[in-house]
Amino acid sequence: MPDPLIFAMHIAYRIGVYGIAALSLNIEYGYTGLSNFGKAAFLMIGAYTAAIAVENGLHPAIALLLSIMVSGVIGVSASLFALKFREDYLAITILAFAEIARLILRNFDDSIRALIRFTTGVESYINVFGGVHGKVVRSFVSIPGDYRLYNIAQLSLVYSLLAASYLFVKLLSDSPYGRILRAIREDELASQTLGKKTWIYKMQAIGLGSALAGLAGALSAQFEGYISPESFQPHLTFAIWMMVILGGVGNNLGSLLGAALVESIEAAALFVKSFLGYLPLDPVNIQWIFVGASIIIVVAFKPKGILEERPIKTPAVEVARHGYTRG
Amino acid sequence: MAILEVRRLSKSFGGLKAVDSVDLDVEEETITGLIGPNGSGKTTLFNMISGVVPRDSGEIWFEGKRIDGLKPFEIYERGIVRSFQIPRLFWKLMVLDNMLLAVRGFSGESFIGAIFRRWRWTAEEKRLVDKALDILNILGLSDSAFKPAYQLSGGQMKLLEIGRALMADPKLLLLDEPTAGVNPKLAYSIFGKIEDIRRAYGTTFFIIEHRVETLFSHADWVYVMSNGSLIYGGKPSGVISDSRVQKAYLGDIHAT
Amino acid sequence: MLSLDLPQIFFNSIITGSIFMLAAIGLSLSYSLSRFPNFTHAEYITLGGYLAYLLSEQLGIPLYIAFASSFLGSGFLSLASYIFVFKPLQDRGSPMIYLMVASIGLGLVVRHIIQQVWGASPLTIRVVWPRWTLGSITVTGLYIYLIAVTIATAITLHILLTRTIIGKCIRASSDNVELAFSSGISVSSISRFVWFIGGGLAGLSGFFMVAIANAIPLLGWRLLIPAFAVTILGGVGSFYGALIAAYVIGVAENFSVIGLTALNLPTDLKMMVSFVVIVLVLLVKPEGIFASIGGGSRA
Repeated sequence: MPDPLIFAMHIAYRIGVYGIAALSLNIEYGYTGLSNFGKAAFLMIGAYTAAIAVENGLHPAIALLLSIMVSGVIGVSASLFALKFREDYLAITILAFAEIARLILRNFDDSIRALIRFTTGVESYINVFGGVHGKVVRSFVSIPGDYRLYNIAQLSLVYSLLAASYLFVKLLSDSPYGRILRAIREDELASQTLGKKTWIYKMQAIGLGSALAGLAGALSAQFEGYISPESFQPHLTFAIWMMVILGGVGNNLGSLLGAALVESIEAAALFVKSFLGYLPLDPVNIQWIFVGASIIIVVAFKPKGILEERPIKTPAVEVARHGYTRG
Repeated sequence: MAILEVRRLSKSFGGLKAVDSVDLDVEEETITGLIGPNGSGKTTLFNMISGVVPRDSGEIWFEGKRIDGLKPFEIYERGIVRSFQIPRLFWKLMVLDNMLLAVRGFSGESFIGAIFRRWRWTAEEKRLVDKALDILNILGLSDSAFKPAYQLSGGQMKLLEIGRALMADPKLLLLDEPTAGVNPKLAYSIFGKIEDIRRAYGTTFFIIEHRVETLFSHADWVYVMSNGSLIYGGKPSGVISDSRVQKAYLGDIHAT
Repeated sequence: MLSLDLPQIFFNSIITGSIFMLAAIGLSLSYSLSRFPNFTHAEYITLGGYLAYLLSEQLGIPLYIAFASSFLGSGFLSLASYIFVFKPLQDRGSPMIYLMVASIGLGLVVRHIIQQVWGASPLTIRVVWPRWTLGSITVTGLYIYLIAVTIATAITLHILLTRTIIGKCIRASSDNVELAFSSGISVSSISRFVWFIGGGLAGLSGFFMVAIANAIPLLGWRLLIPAFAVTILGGVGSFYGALIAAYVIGVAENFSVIGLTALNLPTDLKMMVSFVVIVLVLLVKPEGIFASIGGGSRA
C-alpha cells in the first residue's frame, strides 16, 4: 500500500510539469492561433536531451538549459515550412511530424548500428536513445535517505520553474507584443496590412512554445526516472490540448487550472489502480474514455473554457482605463 | 506632384476583366475621390495598390518608386494605409487595442523589447493611448474604448476602421467607403475631420465613396470607373455633366 | 547487391495500395463534405478489424459474414459519430480545430472501449487460405479477395458518382457546399450516406489488415497517417485522386521497404514516406496533385 502523501506529491509534481506544458500550448494556440498538434514531440526532445546530458556528466542546470534550447531550435526549424499552411493542414503536418520524430527516435540506434555494419562490417555498440527500451534518467535532485524531503525538493524545483514560466509568459502577453500575437490569431492578413511581420511572430511563438515544452519534458524525465518513445504518444498532446481548452483558451491561469483538472483525472485512475487492487475494468481505459468524452462535452457546451480570456493589460492601458472611469 | 501614379494597371479574374488598363494620378495633399457603379473595379484597384491582390500587368508608383509586387506589410512601411469596405477589425480585442495595433515601429512590439525594455515602451504607449483616445473622441467612440470590437454597431465599426488608419500617420490613406452605413450628419463631420487631418499632417486621401454629394463638396479631384475602365478624371464639378458618366450611371443612382 | 524482385514488389504495392484506398476514401470524402479532418476515422478501421476477429475467431462464423459485419459495424459507427457528435457540433458553430479535437477525443473513447473489451495484445485470425505461386510471387486467396473487393468498390463508386443522382449530389457538395445547399441538395442526407459508406470501407480495410496481419488497438491509427497522405496527395474530396494516390504511395512505401532492408534499417521507418508526401504536396500544390482528375476536389 503506497504512501498517500508521496502519491499526492507525485500528482502535484505532474501538475507542475503539465502546467508548464499547457502554458506553452496556450502561447501557440491560445494567443497566436497556431494549432500545434505535436506538443508531445517537444516534450520528448526536452526529455531525451536532459537524459543524455546528465548521462554524460553535465550539471543538471546545464541539462535544463540544453533541453530548453534544443527543443526551441528544433521547434523553430520544424515550423519554418509549416507556417504558411492552413490551420488544419498545419495540425495534420505537425502531428505527423511528431509521430515520425518518435519513430526515428525509437529506431535511431538500431539504424546507426545497421548502417555502420553495412558500410564497414563493424559491430558497434551505439546506444544514444535506448530505442524501444527507453532510458533511465538520473534525477536532478539528490537527497539520499529521506524520500519525503526528496519529493519536497523536487516540488520546489518544478514549482519555482513553473512560477518563472508563468511570469515570463504573462510579461509577454500583457505587452504590445502579446497584442500582436492575438491580432495574428484574429486576422493574420489584417495584421500584415498594418505592417506586422507575422511569420516572425509565429516563429517566435512556436520557438517559445517548444522551448517551454522542452523544459517540461526535462523536468518530467528526471522525476519519473525513466523515459521511452511510448511515453510521448499523441494522446499526451491531446491531453495538453484538453488542459488549454478546458481551462480557458488564451488565459494563462486557465492553462494552469486545466492542467490541474486533467491531471486529477489521471490521478483518480492511478489512485484506483494503486490503492484498490484488482478490478474488472482497467482504470487506464476508463481514464481515457472519460477524457475523450469530456473534451467532446467541453467543445460542445463550453468551448471557451472555464476562465475567460482577459483583455491585454499593459500599464498605459490600465492607467487610461481607470483614469477614464474616474473622469 | 503626384504621390501615387498608376499606369496601365489591369487585373482579370478568370474571364472577367475587373480592372482594364487604368491610368491615374493622385496629387500630394489632395482629397481624391473614386466613384463608380457597383462592380466597376474600384475595390480591386485598391487591393492592387495595397498589395493584397497581385496585378496582372501595369505599374504602380508611390513617391517616385515602384511598389507593385510588394507585400502588404512593405506597402504599409512605405506609408500607405488602407481601410476595408467590410471592416477587418480584431473582433475579440478592445477598441483601444485595435487602435494601438495600427502604429508603426513600436519598441514594445519586439520579443526582447516586450520583456526587457518595459519602461521605454510604457512611456511610448502612454503617448499612443492618449492619441488614440483623442481620435476616438472625435469619432464619437469614446464610450466604447474599452469594449471588444464585436460589440460596436455597424456604423461604429466603420469609424473605428478610419480611426485605425489615422493612428499610423500615413502619407497616403486609401479609404474604401468610409461613410457607408453612417448617418448623413456624421458622414459630413467625418469628411470635415479628413480635411482637418489633411491640413495638419499633409496626408493625401484617396477615397472610394458612394455618398457622391458629400464627396463632391470636399474632394479636389474625382475619378470615375465603370466596368473596369476609367471613364473620367477631373474636378468634381465636371463629373455630373460628363456624358460618359451619365451613361454609366443611367438607372443607377447611388445617393445613400 | 540488390536483387529487385520486381513482380513481387509490384504485387505488394497493389496490396498496400488497395488497403490504403479502402482506408482513405471515407476520410477524403468526409473531410471535404464536413470540412474537418476526422481523426475518429482511425477507429472505424480498428473496429472493422476487431469485428472480423470477434465473428470469425470468437464466434466461429464464416469469414464472408464477418466481412459484411466489418462493413456494417464500422459504417454504423461512422454514421453514429456524425449524427450524434459532429453534426451537432457543426450546428453549434464549432470551428474546424475544435471538430478535429472532438474527433480525437471520440477516437480515444472508441479505442479504449475496444481495448477494454479485447485487451491490448495482438489477436490473430487463424484461417487457412489457399496459396498459389505465380512465377516468383506467392499469392494467397486472401490477396485475391482483397483485390477483388477493391476493384468492385472502385467500379461501384465510379458508377455511383457518375451515373446516379446521389453521386452527382456528392460531387456537387464536394465542390461547393453552399451552392449545393442552396440548389436544394440536402447536404445532411448526403453527408449521412457518405459517412456511412466511408466508414464501412474503412472497416473493410481493417478487416483485411487483421486477416493479413493481426489486430491491435492502434491498428487504425497506424493507417491514419498514410490515409491522410493519400487524401492530401489525391486532393481532399477527390475519389479518383485518392484512387491513384493510394497506389502511388503504396508503390513508394514498398520501394522504401526495399531500400531499408537493403541497408538493414528497420522497416518501420517506411512511414516517413507518407510524411514526406504530406509535406511536399502541401508545399507545392495543396489542392492535391491528382485533384483535377475526375470531379469534386475543393480542399
